[in-house]
This record gives sequence, structure tokens and C-alpha cells, in this order.
Amino acid sequence: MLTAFDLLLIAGAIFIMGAGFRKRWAVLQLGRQERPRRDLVGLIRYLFGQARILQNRKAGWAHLAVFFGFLIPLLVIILAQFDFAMPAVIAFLLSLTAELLGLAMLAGLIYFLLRRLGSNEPRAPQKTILPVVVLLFMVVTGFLAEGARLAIIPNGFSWSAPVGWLLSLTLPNAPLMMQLLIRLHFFTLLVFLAMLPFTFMRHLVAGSLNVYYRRSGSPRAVKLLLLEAEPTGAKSIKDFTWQQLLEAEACVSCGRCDEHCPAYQAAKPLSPRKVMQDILCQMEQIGAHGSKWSTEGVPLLEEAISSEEIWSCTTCMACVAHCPLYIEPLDKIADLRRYKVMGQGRLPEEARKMVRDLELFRDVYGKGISLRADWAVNRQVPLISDDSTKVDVLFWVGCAGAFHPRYQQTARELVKVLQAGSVNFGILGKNEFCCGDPIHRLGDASIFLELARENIKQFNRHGVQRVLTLCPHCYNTLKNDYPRLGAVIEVEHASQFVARLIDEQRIQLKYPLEKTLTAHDPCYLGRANQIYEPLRQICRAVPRLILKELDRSRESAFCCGGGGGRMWLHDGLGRRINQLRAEEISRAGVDMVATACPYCVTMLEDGINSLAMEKQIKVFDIVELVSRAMK
Amino acid sequence: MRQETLARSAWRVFHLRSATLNGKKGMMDIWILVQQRHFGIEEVTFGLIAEARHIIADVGKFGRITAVAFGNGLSEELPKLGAYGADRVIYLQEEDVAGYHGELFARELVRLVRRDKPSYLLTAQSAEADDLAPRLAALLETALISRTVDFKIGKNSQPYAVRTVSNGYLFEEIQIECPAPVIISFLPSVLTPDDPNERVRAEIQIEPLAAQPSDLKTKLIEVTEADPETLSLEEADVIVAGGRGVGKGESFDIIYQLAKALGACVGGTRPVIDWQTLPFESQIGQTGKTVAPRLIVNCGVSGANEYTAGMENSHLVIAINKDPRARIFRFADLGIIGDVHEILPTLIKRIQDLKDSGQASSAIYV
Repeated sequence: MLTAFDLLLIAGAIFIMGAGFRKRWAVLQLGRQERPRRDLVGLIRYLFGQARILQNRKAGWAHLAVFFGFLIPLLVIILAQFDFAMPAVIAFLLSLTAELLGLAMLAGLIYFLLRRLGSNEPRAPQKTILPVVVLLFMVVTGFLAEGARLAIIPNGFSWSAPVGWLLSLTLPNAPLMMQLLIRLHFFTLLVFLAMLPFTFMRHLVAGSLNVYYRRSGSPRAVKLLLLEAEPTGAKSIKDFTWQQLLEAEACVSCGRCDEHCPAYQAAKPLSPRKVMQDILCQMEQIGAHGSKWSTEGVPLLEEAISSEEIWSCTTCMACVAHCPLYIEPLDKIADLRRYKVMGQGRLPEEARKMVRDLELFRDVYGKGISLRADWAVNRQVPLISDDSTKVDVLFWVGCAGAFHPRYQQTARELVKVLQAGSVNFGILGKNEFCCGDPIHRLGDASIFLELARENIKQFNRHGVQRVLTLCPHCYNTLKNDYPRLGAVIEVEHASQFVARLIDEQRIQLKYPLEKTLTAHDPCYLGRANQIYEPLRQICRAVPRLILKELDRSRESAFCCGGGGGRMWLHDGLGRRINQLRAEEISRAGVDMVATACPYCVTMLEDGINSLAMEKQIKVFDIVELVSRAMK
Repeated sequence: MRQETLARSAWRVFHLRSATLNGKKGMMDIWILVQQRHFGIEEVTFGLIAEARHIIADVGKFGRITAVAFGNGLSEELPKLGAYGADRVIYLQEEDVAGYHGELFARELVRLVRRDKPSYLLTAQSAEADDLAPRLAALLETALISRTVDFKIGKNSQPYAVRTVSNGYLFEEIQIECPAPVIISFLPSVLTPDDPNERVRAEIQIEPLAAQPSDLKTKLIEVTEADPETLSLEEADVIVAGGRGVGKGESFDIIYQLAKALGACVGGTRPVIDWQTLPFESQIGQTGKTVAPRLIVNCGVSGANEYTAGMENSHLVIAINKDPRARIFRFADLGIIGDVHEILPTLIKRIQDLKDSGQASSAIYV
């Protein structure tokens, strides 16, 4: 039973913990205020399922064991402090559960301890050893206390406390020792509570809060910036929203983002983990300074995060998809880019031509709107204009389809497929501008908004309701960004559209293809919009085609290296991402690789060329594959 | 085109009849500065004439185009100016002046401008013109508009020019209120000549220089030709570009040899930069330099869009590639199917032989 002194100690521990968290909370309040979404159901589901954490099997199970090994026995012991009668079976079951979970926790803790001690990574999680040792001590004293208790009241073997029974055999009948062990066990818990905010273990609170307040929507890639309301990117941590700062607070530096980051894997300067930890580090600096920061000025983010880092990002969202705590390093990188571009005007030199082309010609290749429909000449592609008849679906060609010589071919193939499926479609021709994705990802919101508004005006003018896009980047922009700017459209990607045509038997894939093929998931189709199936569905629909999955596919697919404006940036640091992916594809031993994105096609073709293989793997857009099988 | 020529001959008749109109009100006289190189007139000059003709046509008034040339050795070339549309050529001939001399040219031009009072003075930006135009503007106390991409006479006869600012990132429109003669310096890339009409001839006035070389404060001592190896790619007239097909390391030396023989700059495609055979500064293409040389020889380049985006404005394109289906051939004026390492040694030898026999000097200036 708890004494008054114990209650005082509990109050003391909670006070220290509260004070620590209050200080950290004050730093969060420096961020911009924003009404976040709250998601209690999501949090409960997250805590009890731990699906995100289990993406890494070993560490995930160990985490699960420690989590429940701490929570359930704690609840059982709290329950035991109250006097009430309980059927013996239930009490026994509770005792058994607590013991088994305690064992699991012990195993998990030892695993974590060895992992930490064995790791020599400089950016590994910080301040973890002490809390793990404290927890270990807590488990051991818990078991010993249980053993001592059973040694005093020996009631023979009981299935409800196997470990306690075993220990009781070796322990003397000593009430004082039992009391001592129970106190030790209890004080360890208090120490653990009190040190929560000061160690790695603050993620119990910060992580849970972050899951509770996390942003909604599946792509969550880069939030739309409406110039009027928000500052131009992030100069210091004060330009982040408090929710973004909470993410930094929640980061445990586990490194799963690095593990999946194409730039990090290609030995480029970027590490998403470092970005988050740098932000956290600046927050801690400010926190340590207390009130002095306002006079001395906050440190600038560029002091910690170099421009090479932020320009290395391909915005592939692998870091976002693999963060066990729903942290989005990409989102911070995007804000840093915005500040570089809009705040300082320091867009990398080589990308400036593309920006000028967008401003003058409205396409990324600088060809001009008047040539936008040239790829479709003599192909009976209906043009949507003021006096054309209404079409069911607008085929949004995109800059690559309209101008890139390799991808014009794909656009023509899609036209063939659509015509074969008797789809009533049309294109906007010279009334279509670039969707704005490349410049948006590079950090210039003003040109993006200008382009987006022009395009939406065209949609409204011609009563466009359904749009079919060839490029996943257009798809993502039209689907996720345009509605927030006032577009009322339903968007489908070509792979989805064609997969449906096959499903409805409007086109027949008759001609067999005796090849082995693998699929490369484009980031903006897969991770951003969770569209994985159509690509595979189409591959399976081609007779005799054998589909082999790559080691890294779907959620874990490795980027081609072309997104996020990287297509227009110089790639001089580290290895080339497309070559890494090409090597992975060549290891799969396939004849062909199918994807569904102009950047991926260009990058993979180049990567495979660079391997100089004897029998070259062919890169296809999925649409080309379909039209080939239709002939 | 035909109609235009007719119209031009019509006012040429008028012009001949009213040769005394010189400098009178209502008559637009546009001067252009002739740019020369190795005793030949540069194409931008003809582009300037075309620009001047468009201005006159826009206004719909009678006008005259005067081309002003300096130096010596141009006599044979001058009739070309007439063929491209100049009405009068003023040739300041001076045997002693070889090449450009800023102080002298400026003095002489000021004298002529004060005498004839032209409406506008057009130049194309080049190393010489960038020196001369500011001198003139200062001496004449008039306005100079540099980096111009467009010049027009708008409503109410209000002339305006569009020029690039922020390194070509933005454009600005300038309304010209300064009294004549305003100097307008165009970016060479926006100038395109009209088709020449060989039968049309211009009146050529040969003027002696008024200033004596002894009056001058500056003296030309020596002209040093730029070393193509250190020249920036964007400024090069001749470029030899190597691609993946050439090969790494020592294989790439053949490109240097050809460049040396041609007096050309060396460029490369992205894979070559990746191999660190060439520095990033030598990369041509979407993420590298955008070039428009008079001649580019593409060796072992397949011609992906990302590369051609950086060189498609080149004047004469030669491509050498093993693959007959290589995309680069679509851009080539001359395509050679074959191995770079077989073809180039022969080519280099031929160029060397020609050079040794002294016949190659003009062949190389394409």
C-alpha cells in the first residue's frame, strides 16, 4: 500500500517531469500557430497496433514487447493498489500476463541495449542507454520482488507466476528484503518518470502527441503554400508551425528515413534524419538559452542545414512513408527550399533556364504553347475549345507528353489505346500549361500558383469534370493541390484508366509477350497516392508476360532520381540514383522494366545505358506495353 | 518576300530621287554598326539590318538604313550589306587600323552622327560593341539600351524597347523619351537576317578618317587570340562534344586532338561529366550549358533530349555515331555513321595536312 511519503514522491517525480516538458513545450510555441487536426482513434490504433514500427521486423517486435511489458504490468500493479475482490482465475490470468510480458520486455530491452552498444553510428539515437538500463533495473527488481513475496508466502508452484516461483526457490524468507525490493522497483519507476523529458524516452509523450496531431491526407507530400497567408519558407525554426516543431521533438533518430532515402543511399549530402535532428538541436539551443534567445536572435536554419543537402532531395517521400512516428522530413526540406528560392532568390543556376521557360513559354522545355499539340498532329485527337462538343474525359498530356521526344511516343500510344477503347476524350492543346509540379517542388510557389490558376480557369471554362493524366507528377498536382485552389475535377492516372479499360473488356490484350518484366513504382503514383495495383494488373493482363517484383517495391520502391526538380539540377555529388536503381533492376534478371512516369522512363533508360550491359533491359511506359499487346 | 522586295525597290527609287533629303524631318534614318571578323561581315550585322527594316515597315514612313563599317579589307564584302537591305554604306577606311580601336571609332562615329543626325543607332552585343556603345552614348549624351531583345515604335510614335534583366531571368520594357539618336544594343541571339537579294546594291560612301592616330590617347599594341581550351563553352565558335560512345579516360584524348586541330572548345554530355573526364563547366545540355556555336561536332553522342536541349540552336551540326538510329542524326546537317575512333584520326590528319599547306585558314572559320 502507498504511504503518504510515496504519494509525495510520486508528486515530486511528476513535478520534475512536468517542468521538463513545460520547458520543451515553450520552445514549440515559438512555431507558427495553426489549428491542427486531432485524431484520438488514430492514436489508439497506432499505440496498440504499432504497424508503422513493425515495418522493421526485429526492432518492431522488441518495441512492442517493451511497450506492452511496461504498460500492462503497470496497470495491473496500479489496480492491485485498490482493495476489491476479483475472481481468482482472472487474478491468476492477470498475473501470468504480467509475468510473460515482463519476460518479453526483458528480452526486448536486452536486444535494444545490445543494439545500442553495438552501433557505432554517429547519428544513432541519443541518450538511450540510461533509460534502457533504468527499465532493465525496473524489470529485474520487479521479478525479484515477486520472487521474494512468493518466498514468504509459499503456496507451491503456481502457473500464474512461473518466473516468480522459480526465483522464490532461491530467495530466503525475508520480509525486509521484499519491502526493499518493492521500494527499489517503485523508485525506479519514479526515476524513469522524472527523467522522461530529459532523455530519449520523451518520445513516449512527443511521439504520441505527434501521432495525435499528425496531418491528414494520404500523400501529405508537400503542403500547398498560399502566398498571402504564410511566410516564404523557413528561415529559422520560428517559421515552422508548432506542429512541424513537434515532429522534430518526436524524432528518435532511428534512421529508417536514411535507410530508404535515395539521396542518402547514393552518398549524397542529404540525410533526412540529420535535417530533423538539426532542427531539434536548434530548438534545444533556444530552450537552453531560456529567455535570452529573443535578444540574441535565433540561429538560422542554414547554419545547420547546407544548400547541398536541401537540393539533393528528390521529394520521393520515402522518408515520410517509413517514419515510424509520422514525421515528414520532406515537408521541412520543402520549406527550406522555399526560403532559398523565394526568400533569398538563390535557385541553383542550372534550374533558372527552366523557370524562365515556365514564365515565358508555360512549359518546362521552353518550346512554347503554340507547339503544344504538335505531337498529336494527324492522329484524330479532338481539341477541346469553346465550340467543340463536350467530351467525357480530358486527356492531360503534360509537358513531357507534349514535348519530350521520348515521351511524345507514349502520349501517341495512349491515344491509340483510348481510341481502341472508344473513349470520348479530348486535349486542351495550347490551352494547357505546365501543371507547375517541377517549380513547386523546387520551391517557387508564385509561378506554381499562377500556372495552376490559369489551368483551373481552363477547366472551368470548358466544363471539365474528369481528367486523365499521363504523368504521375501532373496527377498528384491536379488531384491533391488543384482542388484546394478551386478546381472541381475527378483525376485518374493513365495506368488506372487503362487498367479499367482492360477490366471492362473495352480493349483486348491479345498478343502474347514472352518476356520477364519488373515494375518500377513511380513515387508520385505509389507513395504519394497509393496506386500500386493498376501497374501490376496491366502486366498480368498481357498474355505470357512474367512479372517479377524488385527487392524494393511499392511503399519501399527506390526513386529514379528525377523528381523534385532534380531533373533540372546538376548531379555532381555522390553516386547517381538512377544507376543504383538500374543496378537493382539488372540484378532482378528481367528483359524489361515497366513504369508509368516520364521522369522514371528517362532516368531509368539513362541508368541502364550507363551499365553498358550486353543485352540491354528495355524501359517501357505501361501504356506502351498495352498498345503493343493490342496490335 | 516578293512583295517586300517590290516595296523596297519602290522606295529605293524614291530615295534615289530625293538623295538630298538627308537629315530632313519625317525621314527615319537608322544606322547600324557593321561587325566584322577575319575580314568578313558577321551574320548579326544582317540581322540588325532586318531589325531596322522591320522598324521602318512598322512605322510605315519612308526610311533609310545606313550601315557603318570601319577598318580595312572589307571592300569586297560591302555589297552584301546592300543585298540584305541596307540603303547606304559608310565605310571609314583606314589602312593603318587593323582590328578594333575604341577611342578612334567612337570619335569618328560621333563626328558622323553629329553631321547626319540619324534617328537610331543599332548594334549587336559583342566584345567590341560593348566597348563602343557606352563610349558613344557618353560622347553624344544620349541613351543606351543594352541587352535588347525587341524594339518597336508603339502608339503615338512612342518608341519602346524590351530588354533582359537579372541575367535573362526577367524582361523589362523601356519607353524611350530621349531625343535622337538613341543607341540600341541587341542580344545577338534574337537577330535573324532576311533572305538576301543579290541584285539590290547599296550606295557606298568611303570616308577618310578625320582623327590622326597621333591624337589618340590609346594605342593598340597587340591582339591575343583566346585559347579555345580556356574559353567558356557559351562563347566558343566551334565545339567538339564527346559522349558516352567515346569512352572513358585515354579514349577521350581523341576529342582533345580534334579540338586542337579545329581550334575548338571541348564539351561533353552528362555521362562524360559523371566519369569526371570533363569538369561540370564543360557539360552541354539541360542541366549544363546552352550553346549555339557556328559548328558543333558531336562524337559518340546518342542525342537524348536532355542533351539536345542544350545545343539545338547550333548553326552547323555534325554527328558521328555508330548507331544509325541515334537521335542525334535528326539534328545533324552532316551525319557520319561509324566509330569515332576510326573516323577522327583520319579527319584530324586531313585537317592537319590542309593547315600545313596553308589552305585551311578560311575553311576552319565556318
